[in-house]
Amino acid sequence: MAFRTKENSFRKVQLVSLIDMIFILLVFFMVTVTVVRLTIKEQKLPVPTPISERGRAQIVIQLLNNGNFLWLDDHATAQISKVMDTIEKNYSYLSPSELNRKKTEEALSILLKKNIFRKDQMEGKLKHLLKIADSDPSSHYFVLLRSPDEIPYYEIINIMQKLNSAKYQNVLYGCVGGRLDDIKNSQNVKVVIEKDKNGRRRENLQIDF
Amino acid sequence: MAFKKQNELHDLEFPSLIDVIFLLLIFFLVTMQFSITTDTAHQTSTKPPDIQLPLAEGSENVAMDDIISTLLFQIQYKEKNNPNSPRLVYVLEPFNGDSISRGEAFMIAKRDSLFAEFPQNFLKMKDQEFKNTTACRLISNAIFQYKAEHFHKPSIENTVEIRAEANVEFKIINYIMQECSAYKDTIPRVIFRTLAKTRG
Repeated sequence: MAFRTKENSFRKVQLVSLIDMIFILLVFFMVTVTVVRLTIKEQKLPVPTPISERGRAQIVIQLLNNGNFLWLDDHATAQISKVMDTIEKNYSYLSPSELNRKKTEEALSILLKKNIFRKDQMEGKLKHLLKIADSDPSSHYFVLLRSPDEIPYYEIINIMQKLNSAKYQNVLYGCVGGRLDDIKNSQNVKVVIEKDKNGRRRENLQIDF
Repeated sequence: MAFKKQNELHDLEFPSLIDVIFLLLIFFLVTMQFSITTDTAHQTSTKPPDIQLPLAEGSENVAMDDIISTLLFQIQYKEKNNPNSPRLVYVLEPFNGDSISRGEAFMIAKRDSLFAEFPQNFLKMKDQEFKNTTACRLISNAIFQYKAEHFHKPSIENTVEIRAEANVEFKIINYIMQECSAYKDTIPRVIFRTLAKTRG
């Protein structure tokens, strides 16, 4: 009967498998390090320092205490412009100061009736604005955010970070403190016709407060 | 003279290869440990208490983690994670113009009493009354002093940073911005510190 010879008890370490395993561990730790760093990263969101003088903005967003917001843009200007013309025709017998008061009252009433939106509509409005801005890199928008004192400032950050995500960075923003009452109590709301930088005539809404 | 013919095909030096790989492995292991330590280091005494920053995407990364390179106002709750407790403001700034870690700046602010508490009813205060609070005067003086010492001419690089709990009221933030606006072009930007959204 034939017996097998005794096997060598000192077998060689399988280097190929060992290297495989080490590489897998190495890749695992490399990936893990990256993930850990991503989760703790602090970032900086720049906001222009407000200047206390008459300013211009294509869009004004006034936040309200109940979470709703007032959104004033070209559409609001068009609404007011139409009303101003009608008032001028119908109340031509009034003195200039009375006519101005009448126009301001009517304009404010329309602005506050037609341009206050629910909190859940904010995202849609911002998306729409970004879509327009992204479709034309040469366009530039300045959005002015007004917020009451009590609002947690992360709500402002939420809006600004969305505006900051414009593809061509052509939506600028700024924020100031202020309440809806400032607009409600405005003594002068009017539509002024000005020329833009391309020389085109534009109707602009002017609210003094 | 007899020459010994050398073997042209050497075997791969596996022990050296494994040494190098192990070194890399240990390096990454150690690096990962440090990252985690940084994240949870608020438990140590040299770190300021961590605060819940608002989340934001698309903002610029902070160049180096936890380094203070300009005037920074840190606004936090007096009691950790309690939004009903009073708000505290800490003035953190580089030491003698050199960047320092946020932990060190926080310790210096504590040591030099560069912090103040906002009154509980600050939201109901009128503007003038609010401006006269210790916290507002601290903010105002810090901006004035820092501007005088460091912002000698208008530049986009002149910034003041705000690092605040996400639920801090806009009134405090707005006050800091208004104080900066007093210097118009000299401080053209205020920077909000935010957290990047996590990916896991």
